[in-house]
Amino acid sequence: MELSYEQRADIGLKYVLDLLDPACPYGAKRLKAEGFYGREQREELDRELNNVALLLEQLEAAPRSIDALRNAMMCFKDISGTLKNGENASLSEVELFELMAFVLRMKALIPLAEALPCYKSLTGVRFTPVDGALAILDPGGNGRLTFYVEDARSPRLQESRREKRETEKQLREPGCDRDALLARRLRAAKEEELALADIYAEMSDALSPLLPGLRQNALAAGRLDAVICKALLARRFHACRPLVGTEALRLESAVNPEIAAALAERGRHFAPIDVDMPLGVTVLTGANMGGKSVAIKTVTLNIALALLGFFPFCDRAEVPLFDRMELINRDFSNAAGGLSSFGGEIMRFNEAAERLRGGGLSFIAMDEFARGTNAQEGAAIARGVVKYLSDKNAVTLLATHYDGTAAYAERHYQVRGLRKLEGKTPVPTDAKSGLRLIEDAMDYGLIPVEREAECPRDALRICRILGMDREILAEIAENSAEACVDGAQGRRSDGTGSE
Amino acid sequence: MELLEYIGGAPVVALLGMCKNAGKTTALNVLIREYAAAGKVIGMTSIGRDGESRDLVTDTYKPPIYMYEGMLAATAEQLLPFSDVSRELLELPELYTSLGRIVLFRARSDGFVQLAGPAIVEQLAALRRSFSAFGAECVLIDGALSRRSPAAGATDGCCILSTGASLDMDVNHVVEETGYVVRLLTLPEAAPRLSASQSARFTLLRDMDPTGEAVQTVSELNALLKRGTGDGVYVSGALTEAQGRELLRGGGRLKGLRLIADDGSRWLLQRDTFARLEAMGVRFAVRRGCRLAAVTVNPVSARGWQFDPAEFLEKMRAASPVPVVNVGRYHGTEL
Repeated sequence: MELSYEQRADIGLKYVLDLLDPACPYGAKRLKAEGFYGREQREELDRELNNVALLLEQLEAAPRSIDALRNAMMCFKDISGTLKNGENASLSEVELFELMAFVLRMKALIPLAEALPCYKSLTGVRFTPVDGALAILDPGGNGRLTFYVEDARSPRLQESRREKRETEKQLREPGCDRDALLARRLRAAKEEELALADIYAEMSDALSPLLPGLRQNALAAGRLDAVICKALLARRFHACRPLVGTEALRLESAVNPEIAAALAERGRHFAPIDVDMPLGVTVLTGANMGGKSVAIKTVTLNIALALLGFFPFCDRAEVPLFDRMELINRDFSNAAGGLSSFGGEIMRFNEAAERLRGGGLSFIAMDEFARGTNAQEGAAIARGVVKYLSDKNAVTLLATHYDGTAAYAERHYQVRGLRKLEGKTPVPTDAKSGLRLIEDAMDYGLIPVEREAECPRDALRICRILGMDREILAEIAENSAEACVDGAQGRRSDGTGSE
Repeated sequence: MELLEYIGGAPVVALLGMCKNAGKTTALNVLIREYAAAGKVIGMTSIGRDGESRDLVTDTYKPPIYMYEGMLAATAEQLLPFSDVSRELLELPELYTSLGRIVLFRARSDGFVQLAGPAIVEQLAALRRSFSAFGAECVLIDGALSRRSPAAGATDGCCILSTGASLDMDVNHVVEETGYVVRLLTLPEAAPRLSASQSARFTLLRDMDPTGEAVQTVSELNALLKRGTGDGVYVSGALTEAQGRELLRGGGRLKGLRLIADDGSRWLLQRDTFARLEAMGVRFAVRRGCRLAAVTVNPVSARGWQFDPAEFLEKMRAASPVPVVNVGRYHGTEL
């Protein structure tokens, strides 16, 4: 399963992932590489979610232990290249240095990780002792984060350095025989270089069998770091452990942090969303400006989070193990391909339908499907698609303006919209205060309604609140009365057809 | 003491050369030896690559750099095998050159080192912090050719300019060219009160305050100068030779006009254009000066000729307000 960059950005997943703050490069790598868990990885997903639950518990019980872990991880540099090279080739002086720094830092990290009460229950977080590697890299055991091979390491090194030092001392004397001393020193320096090369080769040979263990430790540190990031995120947004692999999709009080943050900036609250979506189609209707897209993004984001091994931002979440997520919304990129937005939408739907026929379980989100064409045909297309998808192996969420679309749907939700203003239409002084009035009165929450329930008729009211000219409003009212008669006929004929 | 006394405890010293084989590395070695004799821990690095025993550009002999036990150096990973000093690796500061990442080490013996460091001012600043964390009292930066990046972005430091017979066969020409660069490196400082967002190329000033007139081209500037409302111009970026000539021809009022750039490297004018502008009454200044501590001369050219050392020294001293030292006699005695 994949989501494009644009899709990740659109549903607010990029925003959420950007909030993560891995302490070490291995954690960043793990978070980047960890894809969606598919049907075959159900157990792995459960174990990952269990990891997050354990760390979240630890975070609540003893936050300082997590701080200490993150501090210890912050010093790590990415030496994956060296860990890999070292298995077949002799390591250079610089590579041995970075390996030693890595091992010393790992030695500091391991006891902190092992001291976690949940350490033994964590999956994929197993450290192997580094004492063997440390004995090779720092035989003196001085624990300093610098790299120098002591003279005592080999007689050849000792002798060459003694000779070098002796000539250097003489070279500092005034009136010395410089040329002879320099030649002597050069021989000693060459000898030192050869002695060191032997020592580096010996060290590399001795380290070679230990490198897989060190690589494993890097992976373990990365996994631990990534899970801590997930736990921190879960705590920040009061997320819950999802139940995965259920038949229906159920989210209680689902939140989208990116949209919530944007609303908060304007002093407004995000109204959490509840949905209960069985296999089949759930239709979502609502006023203009009423947050149908917000609902779709929020539902999609929280499914994606659960399947990425994160705690979704809900009070309660049941998420089927979808094989794919199809986001068919007003298009990101089809202008480049020469298609209109309507054409692009249809192409995407065709592709999604093709994949669905290939087997597996799809989640399909369609935002205002077929809105880009004329209303009558658009409504017919939307209804046809709903009917087609109603008995397929897919959970579909379709937002629409078109009446009667929900006839074949399993569920029909409406955005609460401007219900607060029911029966009264305040007249604001200007468009700006009108906009504020709508924003204040608009309720983005979802309520289940009858399948046959009509789309809310808020458009005219919104025109009025936004301060549209009275004369135009009068024209619209007249036209809309006629349109309603046409629309009613349209619905009736549909209704007859379905009976 | 030959050079150290002129440094005056500056925390960073940049070494600049008028040309290849001007004696810059010899000057660096003299300075390193003097720091060693004074028992000071210093760090050393280079803008770009330096320290090869043969010059990669002109294929002539170049003195290697010889450092002493306890001193620090930062160089590129790929040059470590060409350095025969025993070393303790201290840090890999995540800075990269075309010759690999930079390694910071402490010399555990005396010995030769090849230096290649970052060419970016911010990275040099990061290296300075690392050097200082490991105890260096001063950082020597083997600088680029000519007058680019005078103090390697360090306004608290000083620089040493090396010149020599390799620049030209005519001693008078060498002295004049060097004297001109000395002028650029010793221009007086001025502090125009500029606003934070300075987008125009030329900002007209009166008593260091912007007059509100700012233009993008020299011809527009000339028009402003004809009206004579300002007594100074802040030049954002560099003033090129062509622009300098346009200014000369433009007929604007140049007498008493103060031209201010960010630092001495921004005046990309040929010597005679600079002189003619000065003759017309222009006074050049910089916002950030760099203290030129000394000039070193090398009377021997790598290309086969040499100057009379006494004559060269005398003429150079006459053309320079800062001390001039002959390091030529140390050439080939780099320790």
